[in-house]
Formats: sequence, structure tokens, C-alpha cells
Amino acid sequence: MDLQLTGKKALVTGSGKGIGRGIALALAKEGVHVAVNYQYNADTAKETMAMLNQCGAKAVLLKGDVSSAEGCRQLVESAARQLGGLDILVNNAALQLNRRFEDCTEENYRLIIQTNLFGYWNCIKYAVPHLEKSAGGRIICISSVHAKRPTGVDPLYAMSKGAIKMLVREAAIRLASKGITCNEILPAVVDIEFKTQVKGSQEWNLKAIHRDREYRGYPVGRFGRPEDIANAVCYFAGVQAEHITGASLRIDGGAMLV
Amino acid sequence: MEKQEKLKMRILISNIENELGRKLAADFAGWGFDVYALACNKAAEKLSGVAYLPYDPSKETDMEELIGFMAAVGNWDALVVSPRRIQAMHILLEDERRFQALFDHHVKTAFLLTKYVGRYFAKQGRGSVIYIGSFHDEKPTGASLPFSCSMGAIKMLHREAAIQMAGRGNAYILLEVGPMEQDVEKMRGTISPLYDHTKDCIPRRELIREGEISQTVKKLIGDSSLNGSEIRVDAGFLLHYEVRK
Repeated sequence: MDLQLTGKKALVTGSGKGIGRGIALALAKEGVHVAVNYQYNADTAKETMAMLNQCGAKAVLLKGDVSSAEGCRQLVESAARQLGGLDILVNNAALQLNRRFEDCTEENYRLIIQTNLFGYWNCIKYAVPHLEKSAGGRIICISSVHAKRPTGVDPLYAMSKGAIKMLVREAAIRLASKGITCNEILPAVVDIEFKTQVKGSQEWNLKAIHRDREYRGYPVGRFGRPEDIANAVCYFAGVQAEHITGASLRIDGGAMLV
Repeated sequence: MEKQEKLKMRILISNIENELGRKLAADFAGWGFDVYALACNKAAEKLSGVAYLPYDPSKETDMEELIGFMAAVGNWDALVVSPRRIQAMHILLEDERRFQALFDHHVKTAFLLTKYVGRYFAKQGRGSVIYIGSFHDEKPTGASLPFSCSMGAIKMLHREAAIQMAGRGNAYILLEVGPMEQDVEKMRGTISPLYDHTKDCIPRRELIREGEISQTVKKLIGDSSLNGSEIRVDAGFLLHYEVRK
């Protein structure tokens, strides 16, 4: 399927490693020029950049903090300026503290909501003037199955994802007239420790027992991988998805069914 | 017997500055409940039969004091979390502070109340927490981004509380309230046609009344088998929301 993404320009927040890196790579392989964003770890972000360069993609590296409105504004404007426009925004940068009710403070609340909800909203808000100049602007928000299923360990994270679900739906109906779609992807556990995915490696063996137990909750027999999420992002970004907006796509290997 | 027991019940209502919260407080007081309301908003209308507690549910320090008061009084049956502030604000408006304030008004207060009162209820071995939510936890408004984001967050707060906080004798219940008279004008005239023919989409041709919410809450208090329930109180509205007339 030709997604007709060649030459498009994308900003992927939180793409120095993990799921974001996988998304940046997948988009680059489709011919998209990518702005890679990181906040703390420059080393992993440079690794991502090296991978993108190997694909022959045009890529720029942007340090930026999405937990403030000004950080989001600067990030979006820098991406648009350096790439020469913006067609795709992938909201991916998010925090998870794994704190139970008892351990959650007002400060934790502020940090999670500001980063996960307001970070996504601010990036959307500042990206829209650029996206509406595109022939088919795309916003794709990486959320979590915990927008639907409680975590049992982290109420603030789930609350932020529940709010993002509604942000996506409000954005979808508000921005449709501008030719912009907005969708969300709900991953379950995604294995972003690449070394542990090498069968027979020391890391693999150390985690084998744990994995066997955890995999029982995944009918397909494994956790998700960054490329699982990235492939869906590419589809949502592509021309074939122009009639899809406000959708929530669960990518969890069937975990929510068992 | 059941009726007599309910008449002795003690209930805390979080927000009485909105019409629905006021009606809840007035109805429960009228039914003979021992009713307390948080009155951090000094402009809140004073209702007979309702005791006002000067604690701000957006501050942890106030919540600690509230729990001290609740423990001194003892024997609480329910907390009703009833923030409801609908203001027009769409996704491209610049005003982050207003969005934050509206979100916190609903979500931060609901979260802190759940954390503190929920812990007290678990220790007490009884107590229901009933969240007055909205069907806008799934259905976008097209008019009020802060309200629908808040409702989406409270839905997940409710689910988390139901599995993390509920002990023996506790229940966490979410009411997904349908369109009410005071909502229609605030929501109408936007990009969504949801509020254009609201009454026509309700089989009985009447919007949801505040008193119906009070009645529903009263029925739910004290039944721990309902923990985790999400009850849509919309008279069938959502079944028809695709109708375009």
C-alpha cells in the first residue's frame, strides 16, 4: 500500500527512544522528514538520528519540554521552520509515575496532567496553523489501554489518558473542517528494551520466567513492539486514512479481551 | 426497615455552588438525611438542613482537616462528588489557565476527595462514593473542551478507585448524566448538532431533571455490589444521538 507520505513533514514528540523512536523510524522509511524531540537523554536521541540518517531521511533533532506551553510552542515552531512546514504531529511524550492513590501528591497530579494532557493539547494548538496549510494534516496521539482499563497502580496516569481520549474526540470534530484528522492509539505493554528481545541473550534468559507469566495475558504470545505502534501511525498518517477521525485504535495483542 | 435506615444516613456533598449540587443537598436534607456540604465557595447559597464545612477540596491540607472532622463525627454513609462547571471553550483557544482552572475544579478536587475520603471509608468499613459525571465522558461536546476532558478523567478516576480503594462495604459508582435544562443553551450552536434537537432524541421528550439524579443517588447508597458500576442517567438519549431531524 502506498501511503503517499513521501516528502511529508512530521514532528514526533518524545522520539529519542522507545515507541517514539519506532514511530520516527517507520515514518522515515515511508519518506517522511522527521523532527525528533527529546528532553533529557541526548545520547539515545542521537542514536535515533543516526538510524534515521541511515534511512536517508531528512531529520532534525530538537530538545524540548512539552510540560510547558512555551516549550510546546518553541518545539512546534522549530520543527515547522527547520522542516519547511508540518503535515503530521505525533503526540507521544508522556510521563508515568506508577504511584498508587496513597502516594500521589498534588505535585504529582500537576506534573502528570501538565505533561500528558496539556502537553498534547498545547502541541495540537500550536501545530494546527501549520497543519491546516497541509493537504491533509494529521494528528496522532499515543495514549494507552489505560484510557479504558484501570491500571490498579497508577490513578493519575489513567486519569490523564481518559482526558486525552476526550481531547482527541473534541479535536476530531473541531478540526475536521480544516482538513485535519485526529486519532489515538492505545498500546498495552510495549517492550522497548531492545536487548531483551534477542532470544538467547543474557537479558532474554533473565526475564524468561517473568515473560512466560506475563505473556499469558497476551493472546498473541508477546508484548507489543514499537513497530506495532509505528505501523498504525503510518496508516493514520497516510492518504488512505483521510476519512478516519476521532478513532481509538487498541494495539494490545488482544490483552484487553482476556 | 430499609427506609428508616436510609433516613439516618450521613452524606457529604462536595459541590453545592452549581444547580445540581444544590438540588442534591436540598433533596437529601428534605428526606431527613444528615447532610454536609463543602462550602469553600462563600457565595454558595445557604440551604436549610445542610451543614457547611469550610474545607477546600482542591487543597490536601484542607482534606486532612476534613478527615479529622469526619472521624470525630463518625458513621458516614456516602460522599457525592458533584463538580459541574460548563463553560464554552474550544480546542484552539489560547487560554491555558482557564482550561487548567476548569479541569482542576472537576478533576483535582475529585481526585483529592477520593484519596482522602476513600481511605477513611475503607477504614470505616462502609461508605459509597458517587461521582456525578456526564455522558460527555465518551461523547464530545463540540463546545466545552475542559468539561469533556474532565469527565473523561473522572471516569478513569472512578475505575481506579473501584479497584484500588474499595474495601468491604464500599462502592465507587459513576453516574453518566444526560442532558439537563441548564446545559442545553451552553452547549447549543456549536459544531456538534447534539444539542439542536435534544428533547426529540429523548423518548419521553423531557430532559433530565436534577431531582431524578437525587433519587438515583439515594437508591445507590450502601450497596457494595455496585462497586465499579457506571450508570447512564439519560432517559435513553444516547440511544438516539445519531438521529438528525
